[in-house]
Amino acid sequence: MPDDLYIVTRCKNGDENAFEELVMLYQKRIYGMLYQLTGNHFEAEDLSQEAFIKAYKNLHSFNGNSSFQTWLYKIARNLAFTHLKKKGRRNGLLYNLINAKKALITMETDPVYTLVQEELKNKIDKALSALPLLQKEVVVLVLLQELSYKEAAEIQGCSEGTIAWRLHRARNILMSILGPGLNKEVKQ
Amino acid sequence: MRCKKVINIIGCLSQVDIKYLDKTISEHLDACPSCKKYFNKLSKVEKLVKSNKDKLPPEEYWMDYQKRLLARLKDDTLDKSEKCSAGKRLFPRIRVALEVAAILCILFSFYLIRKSHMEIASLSMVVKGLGVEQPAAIDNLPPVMQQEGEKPAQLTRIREFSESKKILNEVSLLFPSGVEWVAVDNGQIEMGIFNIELPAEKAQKSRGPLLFLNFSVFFDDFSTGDRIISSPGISVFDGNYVDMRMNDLLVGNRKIEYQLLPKLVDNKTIKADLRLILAEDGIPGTFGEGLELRTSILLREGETVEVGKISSSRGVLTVLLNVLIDERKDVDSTT
Repeated sequence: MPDDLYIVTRCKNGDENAFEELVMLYQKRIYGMLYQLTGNHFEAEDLSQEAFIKAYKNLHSFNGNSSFQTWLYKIARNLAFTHLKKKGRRNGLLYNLINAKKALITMETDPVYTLVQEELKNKIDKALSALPLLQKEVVVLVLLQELSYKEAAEIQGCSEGTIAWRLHRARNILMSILGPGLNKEVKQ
Repeated sequence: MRCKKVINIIGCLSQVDIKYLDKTISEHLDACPSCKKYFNKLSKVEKLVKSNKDKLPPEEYWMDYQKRLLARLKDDTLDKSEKCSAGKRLFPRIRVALEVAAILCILFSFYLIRKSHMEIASLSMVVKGLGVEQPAAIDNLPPVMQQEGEKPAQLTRIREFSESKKILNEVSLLFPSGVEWVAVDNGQIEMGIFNIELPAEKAQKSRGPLLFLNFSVFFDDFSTGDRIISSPGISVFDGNYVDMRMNDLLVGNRKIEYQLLPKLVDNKTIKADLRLILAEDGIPGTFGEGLELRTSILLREGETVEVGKISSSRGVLTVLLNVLIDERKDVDSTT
């Protein structure tokens, strides 16, 4: 993005307002991605701020080979992964599996299940949290953040084919969790 | 197109939407109800998931976001600079102390290593509770054996041992110049200087003056009143060292073991190191058993010296050394 590069150049030259502009531009997206990955507002805020600070301090190493957006996303996702790994070690590695099972049980056994918006969101959260981290990240980047395969591949450091395949696997898992609820909804 | 392939293609689409499908897939979906069902289901799930994306905090939250971020950035920078300045303040003070401590540690380590090596070399060793005795001090030798200014031969008595290799190494450390060989035989140790057997021509050239050392042993037997005499001799010349491993000398029914190391000091003088052990009743003696005589003595040509006596319940053993000019032309180094 030429606009980004212009702002980044200004920022590199010591323009403090430029950094604020960059934050304004990306704060919601970075926050949104981190929220989807962590599922927690406090963690999302903390990590997003940390990502911006890290970007600010390492702006000199940004050489423009990729877009600033991709570079920033990469910083944020690395922070999130580190955080989630630590959290995973604290909470136990079966965290995702348990969530997935809970989501399935709730949807299949609750006879008066209705697709109330808030409740549904919780279900979706649980379904997302059941995904393996890399697949979840692809869902967040491609489906929710609407990045292209190319951008997602740059962020994850893999090929576009891998991104497509991860998305396919993630969709299957999501469908196996959320699908039964949908059937009931259709029947009702 | 097969259903499986179609499902894979649909799953890999960036957006599961009918408008993103190419013609082939659309045609297949129209013709295949199960794939159509799969597509519809997937599409709904995706819509559900996407509906979850607007989970951002309210706008008020974003009004303060930058302020919070900048404040945190400021704190972060301050913290770091404080840490740096604190480090800079403290470090020069303790740096010198740390450097000195490090150097002292290194020097102390070297000292300890050196000390341990010295201990190995100088201390008498103890192997499985059995020790090597230090060479007898001059003062402990019988007065008659000791010549003024002379040091006794560095002979060492080892009572018993089993680890011959270990002994060999450690004895070499203990007597770096006094002992050139260590022999181990049946649990006993013998040591000495190499018997250098020069080639005949070289020996003739380096032979120089030739002296003959008589080693006479008299045993006065109390029970019979007889005096039994045995007198082996050794040719001694320059460049020749006599094997000093234990030799047997039978005096009657008594077996005497001896070590004799004569060295030519000058044309008319021999330095003789003698060690002699008497074993009672012909029982083979060992270094640590029986009665023992040790001496180091200077002998001149024509001189006969009684170097010592050993008294036992059976009799008295008298040892004489006598040096003569060897007039023999062809002699062995030992007799």
